[in-house]
Amino acid sequence: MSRTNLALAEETVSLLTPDLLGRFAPTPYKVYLKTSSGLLALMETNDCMLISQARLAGCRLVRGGSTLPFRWRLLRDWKRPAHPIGAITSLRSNNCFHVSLGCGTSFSVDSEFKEAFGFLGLEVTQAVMVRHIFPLLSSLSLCASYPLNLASPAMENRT
Amino acid sequence: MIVRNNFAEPQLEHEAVLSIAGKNFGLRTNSDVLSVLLTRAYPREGFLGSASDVIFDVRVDNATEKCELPTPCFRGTEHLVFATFGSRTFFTFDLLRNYVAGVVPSDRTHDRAFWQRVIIPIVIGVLGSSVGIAPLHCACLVRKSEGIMISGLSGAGKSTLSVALAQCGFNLLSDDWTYVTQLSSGLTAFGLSVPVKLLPDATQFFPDLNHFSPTSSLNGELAYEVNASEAFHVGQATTCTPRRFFLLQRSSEPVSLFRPLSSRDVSNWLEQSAERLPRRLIAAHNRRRTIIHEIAKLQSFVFETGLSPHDSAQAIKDFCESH
Repeated sequence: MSRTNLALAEETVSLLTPDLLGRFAPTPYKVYLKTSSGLLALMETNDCMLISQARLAGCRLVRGGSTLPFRWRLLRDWKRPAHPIGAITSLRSNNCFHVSLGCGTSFSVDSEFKEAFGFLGLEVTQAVMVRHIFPLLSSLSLCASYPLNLASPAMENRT
Repeated sequence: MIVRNNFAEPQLEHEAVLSIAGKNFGLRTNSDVLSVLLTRAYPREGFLGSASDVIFDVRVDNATEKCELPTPCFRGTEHLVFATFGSRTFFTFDLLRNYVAGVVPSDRTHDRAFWQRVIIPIVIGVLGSSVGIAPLHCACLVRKSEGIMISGLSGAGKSTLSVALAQCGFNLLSDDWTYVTQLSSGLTAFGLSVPVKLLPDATQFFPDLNHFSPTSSLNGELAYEVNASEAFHVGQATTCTPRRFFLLQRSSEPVSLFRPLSSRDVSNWLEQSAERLPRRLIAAHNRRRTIIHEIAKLQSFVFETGLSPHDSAQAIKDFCESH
């Protein structure tokens, strides 16, 4: 793979094709976190409130170490109107866990690349992040290869 | 908050190979009804090999109840793309592993239009570049076994011109998105037999539309979405070999002009019109670019017109016959 090719792919920017999928949304906030179960994660986000919410969910801010962190790229979908949060629907593919909370809020955890990508609608409140999404993200990131019943106990039976 | 399942996946015991736009899709699903529906809609082509280019897993969730299909929301980052339709229909696309996984409510298993008009075009549009299919924002029509591709800005009039060309003797392959791949036989364009989409003001040129009602399309736009052969009694095609490329431009003058268009300009236009891909998908980017370079070798012209769709169509027909 040549450097020229790499540059071309990234720099094929066009006014005709805006970033409809939000692929290239900037994530200016980057922090290292250690989850309550000891997982080191590098959280990249465009919503600084997620940092304090991660701490409320039991994560500690730490310095990056020599261990390769699990990358969490979490994008708040500022432009999309809020929708009611739907039921959590999950899917498992070869190397990924996928979770949807209804229209536009979804995330995936890729065990092979040690990455998690998420889009969070405006309807996803601090309480939902702290009680549901961060615990689930931590569980899935830590146990990405476990086959069954990975949802955190905190998710069960809540309305 | 309701948790529908905890990754306890049901067995996807029904397997089939589908042929879509010249590629093999390995379908795995827990629904025999869906397997039959998709196998009939996309029967396996003999010329394709046995290996699947894409794995397509669909889990039918019997617990979900009926609902209207909401407007989809698409998001993506790096190699993953998500498509959510409310809380009951959810698809993810892995562009590095050529893998699609989805969950749908059981009432969608019988809904042929949902699969043919919505899901399959989305799958090809999102994943195409990764498997050597270039999804191009072009209309495509066929006459005497030769395909013409018509590109242009949104609103330039590709769809109205396409229907007028179809009424003028061309077979309609696509009015909006054409999927081009390089087969051993050469450059090949595919359509997915989706309805043509015409804005409400098209009734002035196509009075037959008055028999239909405009509906809200996937992007929320009010439009007529009609089966061209039913609405206009025109011929349709599903595949062709492209021979000419036209870049449609509107003119304020009541004239039509053809100007040669260089290969470089065609390449630049199509590259700029295509979806921007992240660095991780450089292989997909290069596959798409290779196809675009092949298209750029076609006879290419700017077609500038201020005429009605039917007069413009006649101008293209005359031009093709004289060149």
